[in-house]
Amino acid sequence: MSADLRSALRDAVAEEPTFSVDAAAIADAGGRRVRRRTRLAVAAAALSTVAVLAVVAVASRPADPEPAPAPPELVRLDLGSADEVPLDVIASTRTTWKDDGSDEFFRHDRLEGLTEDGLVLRNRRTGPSVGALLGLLDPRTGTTDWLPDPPANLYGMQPLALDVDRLVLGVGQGNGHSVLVFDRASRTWQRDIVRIPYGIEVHVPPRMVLAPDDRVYVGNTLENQPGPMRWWSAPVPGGGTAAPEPELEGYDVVWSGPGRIVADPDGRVVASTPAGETELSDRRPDGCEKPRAFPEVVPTTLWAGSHPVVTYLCDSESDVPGATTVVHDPEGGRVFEVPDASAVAADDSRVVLTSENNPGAEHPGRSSTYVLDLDGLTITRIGRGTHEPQVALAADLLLWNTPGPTDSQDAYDVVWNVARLD
Amino acid sequence: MARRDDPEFAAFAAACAPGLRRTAYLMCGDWDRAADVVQEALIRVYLAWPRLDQDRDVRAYARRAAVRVAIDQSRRRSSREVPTPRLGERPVADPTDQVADRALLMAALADLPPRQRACVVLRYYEDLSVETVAEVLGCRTGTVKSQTARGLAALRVAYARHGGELADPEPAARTHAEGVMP
Repeated sequence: MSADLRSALRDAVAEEPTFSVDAAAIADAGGRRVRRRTRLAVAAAALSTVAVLAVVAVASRPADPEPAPAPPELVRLDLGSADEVPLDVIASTRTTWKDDGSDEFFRHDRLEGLTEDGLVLRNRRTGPSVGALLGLLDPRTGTTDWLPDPPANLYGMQPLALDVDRLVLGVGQGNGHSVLVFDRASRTWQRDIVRIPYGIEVHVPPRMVLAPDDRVYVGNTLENQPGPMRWWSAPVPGGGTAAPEPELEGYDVVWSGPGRIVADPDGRVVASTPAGETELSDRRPDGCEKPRAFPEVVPTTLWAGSHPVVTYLCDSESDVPGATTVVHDPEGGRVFEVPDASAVAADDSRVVLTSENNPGAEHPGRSSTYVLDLDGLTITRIGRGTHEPQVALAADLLLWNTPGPTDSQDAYDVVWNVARLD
Repeated sequence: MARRDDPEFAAFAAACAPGLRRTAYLMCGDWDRAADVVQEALIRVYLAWPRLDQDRDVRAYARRAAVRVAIDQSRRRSSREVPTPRLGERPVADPTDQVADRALLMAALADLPPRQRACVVLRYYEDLSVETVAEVLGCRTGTVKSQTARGLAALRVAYARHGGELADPEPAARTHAEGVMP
């Protein structure tokens, strides 16, 4: 029995039962959904929800993008109800040093990200007189394929795209930025210098995002100003003096394929797809006031498959201090709101969350790390909170980090782990 | 901008529903559930109808809605899905071979995670390009490539387990599939 897949798929639907669609019934159902705009939402029992909140009424504004086609149900999730599920770690590195002025500071072995095909970007430096090496660690075998020396210092490195055919890394901060592109087939590096106008904040790493048209977007505030966020962009390859992007001022932005999300500090979230623009929200989450010291700090945005995920920093005096994460559904389905949580990574169906509210926790890790499964509708606690920014989801793998056993005010100790999620 | 009560919606729904149901069936393994998927997808199309470009976007939007509804529903029901009776020994060569072939295909598809299954169906039933599948699923092209490769590998294993063989799919014979429903 040998089968051609295309033929087999067509044979499988060749004898379909009769079917007709009732357009009037569809219109009735759609109309009822529209009229639900002002109703209260129901809780999702499977999620151990703790509250039923009013439906978010997404107000339309003339000349603005179309509002979401149907009113979303808003469901608040409680991290405290999460079950603890230890993961099966299949790869790990650890970096330790004591804060005693020795050159241990120049040694590290950390995991930076996950490629689409399930390899781990590893960054290792063995001392002050040598540069950092990058490698691709296969977590199934434990072997690392060390790459040719990168053409730039890797200080402040951010993975921008770890694809099957190339690795795109942003490095640097302040006014000098580089974009490094490693072609995995030819094993060659390319470096583009991106020049940002003087005057931007140099003490805080910029936000760097790669758009689908291969322009790198660099976002930061101006020096000594709390905001708003400003953006510049430059082509890759090419680089050069980055062009200002005034229409993005005050927003965070992220792309996924042809889709784009922008979100501002007031809670306005707009998703753009080839089908048009949809305003998913026009207000911040309830109880999450803007931080008084940084009122223009932008939320951080991610895509979890088709779901825009937005995390807002909340004032410490808010009803919900710390941060709140909102998971939107561009099709108008349920919206999930997770207080005390920051989204730090996502894949097609999962979001990694770290809790912000950290009373009494050991320095300096956050209290816990969680995985929100948008398909199974579950939240699991996978362990202590992260210490460093490197968290990623790809190819059914999770990369995250935790404080090591000796981590303290006087000693740096961090463990990076990779676990299989499927 | 079209109104929601535009008769064109009814005409569109009638025209595209059969194709959507076939795709949904390959993704869920049940004709009745596939009809439910189409119903929900068309409700979403109806809601979005006023803002869709009738000449350009509406079919792609309907396909995307159907695939996403099917993925959501199949994940919620995956623990209960029993798409075929237990497959026995390799059947003898008679007219029931075709039935057994279908059963084997649907059983093999049922073992795939929903997004892998969607990639296989969209790439090899609808003959969509990698880029278009990525747009439908809201993911990167590299993800489509890796999910498709994994799905094909799993299908080959499933066929081999039952004494069959799944040939490597040829490149798409049709190039016009991007804008049409099968």
